[in-house]
Amino acid sequence: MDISIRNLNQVYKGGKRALDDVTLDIGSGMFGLLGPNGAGKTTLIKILVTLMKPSSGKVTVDEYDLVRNRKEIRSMLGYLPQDFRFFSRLRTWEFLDYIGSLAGLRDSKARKKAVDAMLEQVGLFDVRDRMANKLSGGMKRRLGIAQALIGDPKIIIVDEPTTGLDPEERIRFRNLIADMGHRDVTILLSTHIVGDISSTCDNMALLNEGRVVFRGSPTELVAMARGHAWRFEAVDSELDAIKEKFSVISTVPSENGWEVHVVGDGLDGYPGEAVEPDLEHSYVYFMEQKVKGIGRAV
Amino acid sequence: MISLYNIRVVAKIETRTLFRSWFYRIFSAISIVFLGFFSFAMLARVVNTPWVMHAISSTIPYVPILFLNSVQAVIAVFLASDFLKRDKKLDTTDVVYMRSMTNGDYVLGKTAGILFVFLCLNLAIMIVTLILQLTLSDVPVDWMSYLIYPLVISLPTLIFVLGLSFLFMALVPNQAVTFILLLGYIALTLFYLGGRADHLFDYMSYQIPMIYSGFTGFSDLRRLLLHRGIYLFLGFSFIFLTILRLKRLPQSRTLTVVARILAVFFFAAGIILGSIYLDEISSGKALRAKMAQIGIRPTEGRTLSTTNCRIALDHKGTAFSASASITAVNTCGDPAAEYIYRLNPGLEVDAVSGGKGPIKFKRDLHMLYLEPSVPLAPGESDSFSIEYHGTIDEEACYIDIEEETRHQASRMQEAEMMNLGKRYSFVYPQYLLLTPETLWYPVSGPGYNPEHPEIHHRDFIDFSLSVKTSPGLSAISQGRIDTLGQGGFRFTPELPLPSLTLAAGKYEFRSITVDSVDYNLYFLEGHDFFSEYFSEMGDTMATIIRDLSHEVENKLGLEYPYERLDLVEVPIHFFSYRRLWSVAQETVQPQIVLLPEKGAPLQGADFRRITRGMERRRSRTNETSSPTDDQSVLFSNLIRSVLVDNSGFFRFHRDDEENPFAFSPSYNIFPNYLTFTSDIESTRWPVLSMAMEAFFAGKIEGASQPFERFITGLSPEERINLALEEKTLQEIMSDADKRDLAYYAIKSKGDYLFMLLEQKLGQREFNLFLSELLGENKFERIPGERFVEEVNTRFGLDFGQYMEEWYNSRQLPGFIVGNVETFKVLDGDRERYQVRMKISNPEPVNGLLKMTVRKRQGPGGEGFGRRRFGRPQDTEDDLVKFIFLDGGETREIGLVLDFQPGMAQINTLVSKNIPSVIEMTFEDFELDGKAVPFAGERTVDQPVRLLERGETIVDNEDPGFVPQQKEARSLLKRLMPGRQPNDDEKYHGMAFWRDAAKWIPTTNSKFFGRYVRSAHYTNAGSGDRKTAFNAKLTESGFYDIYYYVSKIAPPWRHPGEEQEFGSNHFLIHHDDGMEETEIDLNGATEGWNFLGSYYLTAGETVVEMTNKSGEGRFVTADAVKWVKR
Repeated sequence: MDISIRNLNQVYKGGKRALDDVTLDIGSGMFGLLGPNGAGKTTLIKILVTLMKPSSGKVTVDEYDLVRNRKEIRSMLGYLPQDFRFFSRLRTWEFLDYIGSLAGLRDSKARKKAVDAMLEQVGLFDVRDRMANKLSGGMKRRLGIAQALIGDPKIIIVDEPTTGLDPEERIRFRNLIADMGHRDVTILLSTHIVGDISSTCDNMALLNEGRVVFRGSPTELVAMARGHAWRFEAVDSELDAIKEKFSVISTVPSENGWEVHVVGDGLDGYPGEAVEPDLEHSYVYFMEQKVKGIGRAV
Repeated sequence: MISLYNIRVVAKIETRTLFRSWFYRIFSAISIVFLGFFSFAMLARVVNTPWVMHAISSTIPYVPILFLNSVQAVIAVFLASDFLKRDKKLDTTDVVYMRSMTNGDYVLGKTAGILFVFLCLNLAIMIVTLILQLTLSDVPVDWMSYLIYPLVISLPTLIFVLGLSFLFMALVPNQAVTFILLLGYIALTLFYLGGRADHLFDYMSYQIPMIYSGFTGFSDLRRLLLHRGIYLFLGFSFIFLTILRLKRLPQSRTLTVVARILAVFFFAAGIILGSIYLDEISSGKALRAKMAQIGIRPTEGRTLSTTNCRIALDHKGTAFSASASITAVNTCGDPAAEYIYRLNPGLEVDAVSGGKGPIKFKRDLHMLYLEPSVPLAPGESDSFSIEYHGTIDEEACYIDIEEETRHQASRMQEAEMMNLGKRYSFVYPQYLLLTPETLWYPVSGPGYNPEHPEIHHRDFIDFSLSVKTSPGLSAISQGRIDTLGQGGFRFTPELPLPSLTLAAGKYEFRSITVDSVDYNLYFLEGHDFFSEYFSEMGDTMATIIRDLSHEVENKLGLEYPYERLDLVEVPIHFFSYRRLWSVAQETVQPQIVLLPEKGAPLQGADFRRITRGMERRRSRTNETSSPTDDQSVLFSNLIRSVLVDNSGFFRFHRDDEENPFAFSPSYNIFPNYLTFTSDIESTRWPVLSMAMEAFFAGKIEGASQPFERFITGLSPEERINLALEEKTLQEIMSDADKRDLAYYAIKSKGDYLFMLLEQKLGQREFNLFLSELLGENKFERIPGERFVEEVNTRFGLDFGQYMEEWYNSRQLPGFIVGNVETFKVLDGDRERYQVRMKISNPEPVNGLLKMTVRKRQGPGGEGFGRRRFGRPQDTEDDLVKFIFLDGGETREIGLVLDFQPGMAQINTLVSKNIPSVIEMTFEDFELDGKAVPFAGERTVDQPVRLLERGETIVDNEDPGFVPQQKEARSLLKRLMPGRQPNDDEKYHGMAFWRDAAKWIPTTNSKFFGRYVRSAHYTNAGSGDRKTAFNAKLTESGFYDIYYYVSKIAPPWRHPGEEQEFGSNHFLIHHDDGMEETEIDLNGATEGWNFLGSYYLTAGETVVEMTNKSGEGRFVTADAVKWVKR
């Protein structure tokens, strides 16, 4: 499925502009939407999942218009929102069964089978009779992804899926997402955690202050930071000055003080070495150093 | 557009969620347990419930549903608003909202889910009630009512409440504000709006009539459906508006358009139904006003009197056609160029013909004007026939009854939650009831004249009636009955009748003949709930009837004129009002009494409860009695209380609890002896006939309930006396706002007038005169002027002058009773009981008293002879004495009795006295060997003195009595309706359940007073509320100060029963300062009690009384006396 977003704007009451002339094309496969908090990711997603009407602009999914063809688009969607809790009086399987019913699984036997399969897939089959709100945080996320997946949606949109998860659950979750990427579906993963994108997405966009400031693959973003990622040793007394001068990626204790990873256009006299940037270096470099110039370019 | 599948999915999950909600579970459990227990207690007769709840089978499911509905309407608000609140809060809803379904699917699914869980609760309660009825009660199950009530009551209420809640939640951003608005609306409808506009705003259907009759179903199905339809449609409209306002992007444009159309459609439908509902009310009102207006004409505006009326009626479905062949005579002094008749406006006249062919006629609402070719000369007769068809327009009935009374709910006080409904006629395929009020046949004259509401003409007509109705139905009317094949009947009354009544239904009947009179009981098929209770009576039944009949005839001095008396069961909804011109109500017709369905409002018809009570009493007292004895008591009490005493029914509710003029149905057969056989017709004193009726009816009827007076503060008679001090009888009658009062005023003054004549002219002679006069003029109208002339001639009295005063005087006598002495005297060698007292009438007009002395019943038990809850009706054991006092006269009364009297009641009748009945109890009788017995009356010079020389009294009626009237009630309590007495009333009852937050004036014969024995009462408290007795002393010196103590116990307390009265607390201001003192009421005797002696300087002095009372619940402030030493 191809999602085409053209000149999308969203202005809230009071004049706050959440999306500013966003234009994007999202094709099949995993697509990452990266951006800091407040960048407009959730607004864009709410518009895409038909929960919010844009102020202007156009979104189409294949031949369907998002405003005119809500029925068709909704029937293609699976969605995991950012803040996801459950109706307190439903069991795990009941909730999934409910969503399955709404997702078009009308045959009760087929639905039961799909529910069980989905619960197996997300590792919740053993707790299928437990009240959904009694699940642990990680389980709830898995149930969330299960409800987004049930009914085999063509488009899956997940908003900040790993926020608040412990490392083990985060890895487990990323694997689930990655599995989905192998299907012939469009997956939009919105996050502010760079690791989520780097481990799963082929394409991505960077959103800042409601505008798309980068559109390409993670490799392209990394390439843009090459030659701007540095590592050097520093003592305690130098740290504050370094933090002022550079965008610090990490500060790790070392034998002589601290091993500091930064991004910047040069070392500016500090003894250090260039390192191969990863997506995180790139994201920070991009956001901190280049955003204005490149943003204009994009 | 709308997917039933999606609706079902959403509904299913909502249902599941709600079923698991503890709020719902607890509510359901409490409802099922409470209502189940209620039904159990009712059906198992664990508690005494009114007979109506057993007699009318449909009330068994009706009452629990009514209760449930009132509560579920509130609960539904919370649960309904909960779903939107829940949806607003959680992003979880997003995963539902982004699914492919329309907003309609979602909202309708949610509605269906919530509705389903509530209907399940309704079902559960119905099942529990049904099981209880099947296992505990012998009342046959009315299966339909178990289905109908949840559908008619709960469903529209829930849909309306859900729709309203959804809409509020969708429109109002703040949930707390939404709750306040919704709960405020509910409270407003429950406490204020519900009873207005004929219950239009009663969306919970708490007040609308819904009792389902075995005869004819709901009282007014059309209006009921209109009413419920209003809320059903408005509910739908709100639900569709919620679909439009749901904070989710719509999925279907078509649905948006359709929802908009449906919202408007249902809203319009609800409003249209509402306007039809109101329009029917107002059009009925307008119709009656027009009808009344037509009746305004000179008092002699009558042209003909019907002498003969032959009616043939064909009953078909909900209508009938009829022809009436009438012979009428011109009783006026002028030729009649126009014959005025009345016929119900729902009946269309097809043709009028006379001996010379068709007669021209005009209709104007109920009026039928016939234009004979030649005017009818005075005294001449004419015959003509009127053919008509249609049905009865009940809006045209009772045009003389004020609208407020008409629109009041018909409730029994003992079963207030049930509005019985009011119907005046029934024309159904399976049932027919036509009484004279419906004008179902042409009646001569213009009828009700609002300018002279007391005028009523009575023709005595030779009727005959032939009826054709559906096969299987039996017709009932006056006269000998002949059956004319299937559904055909002919009735031939043996005597002239003033009116004719017809009933037809699936009637069965029982009959007994006593002294050549046939007593027939007609009841609906399947309504024989009584036979088993009278199976052993045999001939005893005839004996009881004979004895009662003789007793009534003896008391009245009049004979029962007819060959039969038919007791006919009619639907529970049948309603009648009292009229100004007669004591007879529509429930009693010549030789017919229309008894309510299964005797539902009759206490004495609850045979099972009474029988069990008798058995319990017997087992306690080890008495033995035969089944015949028990059944005889049962039967005798029933027919006496219902047909003679007019006492054996539950009191009907009044909207204003302090209005004692509330309607009570009457089944008293008295009108058969007088009202239907004679008529005194007078244009000068049109109430003369009613006055005579009241006098005769009073001979057999019971008086008003002392219990009721205690609650309401004033008896009807006292209210009349208060009114008569301000207005003459004629003025009261011409005041349209005092119609209820006028009825009692005529009755009270009429009774008084004839009693006065009786005493003045000699009881025996006067009664003999009346009996002769009425006997000689049976079934004829007696001109009032002739009646007056005959009284004048016979007794040498200017009765006309008497009547003028009686009609136009504002002056009333007032009585002061005092110098009461009780002791034993020696009468020869016999010890007898002497009671002596003086009674003064200081007023310039004469007056009459009725003194009743009751026998002491012995220690404990009935005590002094006062009957707990009892009616003050005289019994054979009582001594009754009438005392006549001229203006300014004082008489000493002496009674020498062979029995020890326990109490005396002095009924001051029409007077300034409040209470109008003065009660005094007699304690011990010591022998006074020197006393000379005195029996009789004598005029004495010394009047009764309440105040001796050197005494100063400040009563609560005096200006020196200054109560502190600051209300100490919370705002909520003040806002609660019905909690405080109406300030417009002069005196109030001592309603012990009411919060007396200020000093409230009340009356009781135990209080101190000249004519008005009153006090002010208030809640007992900490002493924070005071009242002051301010006196002006003329001399300085030592004064003994007294307070007048009275111990007021509720009338439901046994006279001998111990009660905690607490104490009275006083602050006495004297020259040396202030002193606190108190009287322990439990140890005090009633009357003046000594507070102490104090030196007081001439001038202002004050004794304050507080609301401090120890264990007492109320404090009464009455009178303080200063006695100069």
